[in-house]
Amino acid sequence: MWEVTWALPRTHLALQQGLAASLGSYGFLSPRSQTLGSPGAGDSVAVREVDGLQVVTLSRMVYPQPKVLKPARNDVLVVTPWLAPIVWEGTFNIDILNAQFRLHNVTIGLTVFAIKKYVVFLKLFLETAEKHFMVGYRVNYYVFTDRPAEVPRVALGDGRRLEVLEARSYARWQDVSMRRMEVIGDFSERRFLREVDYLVCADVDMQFRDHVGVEILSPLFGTLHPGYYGRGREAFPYERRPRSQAHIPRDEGDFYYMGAFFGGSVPEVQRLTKACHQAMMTDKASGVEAVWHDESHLNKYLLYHKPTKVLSPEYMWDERLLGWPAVMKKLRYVAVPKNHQQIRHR
Amino acid sequence: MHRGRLALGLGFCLLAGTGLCFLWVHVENWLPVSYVPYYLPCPEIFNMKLHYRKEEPLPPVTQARYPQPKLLEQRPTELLTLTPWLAPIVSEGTFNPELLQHIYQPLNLTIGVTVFAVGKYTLFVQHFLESAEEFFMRGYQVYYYIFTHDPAAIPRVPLGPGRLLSIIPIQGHSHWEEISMRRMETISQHIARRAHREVDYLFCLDVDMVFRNPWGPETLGDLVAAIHPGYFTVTRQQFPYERRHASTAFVEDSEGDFYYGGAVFGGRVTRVYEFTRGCHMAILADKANGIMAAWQEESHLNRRFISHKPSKVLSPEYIWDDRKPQPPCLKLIRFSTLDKDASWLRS
Repeated sequence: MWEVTWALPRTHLALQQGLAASLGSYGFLSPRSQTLGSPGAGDSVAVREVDGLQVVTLSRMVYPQPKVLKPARNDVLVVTPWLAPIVWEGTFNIDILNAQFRLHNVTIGLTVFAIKKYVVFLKLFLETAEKHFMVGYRVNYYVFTDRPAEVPRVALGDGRRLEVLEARSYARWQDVSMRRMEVIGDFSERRFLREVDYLVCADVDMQFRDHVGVEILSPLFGTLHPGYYGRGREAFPYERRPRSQAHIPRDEGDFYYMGAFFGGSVPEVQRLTKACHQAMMTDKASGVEAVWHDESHLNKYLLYHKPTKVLSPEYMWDERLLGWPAVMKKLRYVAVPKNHQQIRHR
Repeated sequence: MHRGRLALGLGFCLLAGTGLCFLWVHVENWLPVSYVPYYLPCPEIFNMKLHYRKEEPLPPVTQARYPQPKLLEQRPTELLTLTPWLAPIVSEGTFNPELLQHIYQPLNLTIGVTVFAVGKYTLFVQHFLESAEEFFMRGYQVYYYIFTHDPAAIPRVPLGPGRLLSIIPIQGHSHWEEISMRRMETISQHIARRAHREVDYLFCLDVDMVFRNPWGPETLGDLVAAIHPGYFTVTRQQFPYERRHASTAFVEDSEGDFYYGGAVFGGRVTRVYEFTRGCHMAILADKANGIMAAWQEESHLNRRFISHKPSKVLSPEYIWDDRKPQPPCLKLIRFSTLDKDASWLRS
């Protein structure tokens, strides 16, 4: 007989168990169980569609039943007239959304510009983002700055990385603000398309104070400006001069969106930033500058390219200026007090 | 000495194992449920990989005049307008029809509709089509697919421009339940063979119903379900889900969002393909176990919508039962059942 080298009785037993197990599992290999489960997984999606509600099979979850006759919020509008959700606290169950988005293994890019003195805001921005922004997901921070040496070292969680990218500064703060569109558009093509699924473009002079997660993700989203969410459209500070590309007449307009927090899928953000940049260059050639710069152009774009999600002012607040009204159940992303005179000029 | 015994022991195990396998193969045939390939669907479906068209951005909306949305609404409690996974629930007042028309018209979409008219149900086709011509997706290209065992029984209804109709013969069955459940298979096969080339969106509707008010692009979405009119006021424990563990359509007491109606569902044609195929496989698995779900394919549809949540939900305005009095929370009934004697029809 052959030389049996396994001398240990334990191995003998393990083998016996293995045999038994394989016998038992034969029953489970019957054709019946092969057809159960998620048959859809077999014919997989050839093109990755960046729309959160995808062909994903959610596993069993327990959560309260949604009530058809009891809206979650009856003090605010939660759906736009073009049927895009307006995201307020209470309207969404984050566990369901997390279950959907985690199955897609999404990576989120967060762009932020820290030009000249604005580098001082980075530490608080990044530290609070670590606590509240897309926790549990892969996040790439893209910090555009003209002072790479002054970017603080912030401890990052698992799956989160930070890239410092050089960006030129401009003498006028208005130009610094407006040129962000150009840079984001450029980098979308160069890098973001390959590296992330969604892009969030945020102002740096802010901090995260509460959860900001996948409930915001969709092909194109804008955020309601906290100063105008209750106002009529005639009061919106749109650009009103017809010779500007950002012009919006008084009888048009859905909402006034803030330039400090917008985003979406990379292709959509690329389209938006390129369109805004082009419009700004056209204006420049005509010798006109929109009243609120890139924000005016953003509003024009979102009027004619309806966002697929709108974020409530919970996602863009200033407590010092606006307090904490009852309609805001959470203040998630808030302004950091700054001295405009000091910080904007040299 | 030790090793010899070890080898002997192992040899014995191997023998025993083989013996047991042999026994199992025999015993299998005696079991009440046959594992014979009852479950094999048409092989071509497995091989068909639908080409996914990349999502195109919506074209810009040209200037449109409409009232500004009011953000701080103090409305009395009405219908829920957003699911917990942020899918809109469509009802009158939640959307601006002109704005949506503005957005969707330039896209040159074709919307398909499948209906099954088998046995006496061919009698409903006339009324269905006439009302669809008046209310369903006015101004869009529409393709009706009428599945029937008796093409001659389908009346010729005049259709508007850009609207086509195809009569597709299918096998009749003696049991109405079988007819009902085969719909999932038929629809998925039809999409794989034809519809994916012919339409962008597809709705699968019951034929014994009638359109009463406009049904437009507000209903278009990736995967669309409609809330059953009989169960939108009750708790999930009272939903008529399949409650037997043995069925693949089984739903636990603590699961479930809404009870969706089997008479209305749809979406992008590729999503509907995946959905109907998934339901069909689950129905086959049940068949192999000799079990039929409580409400046939509606039970399977509901099971699947829990784990594959719809991206848009239609309120009961889009799937009403005329025998019920219209409640104040539903402002505009758009699609509802015709009063009929079910027992006569199904005989």
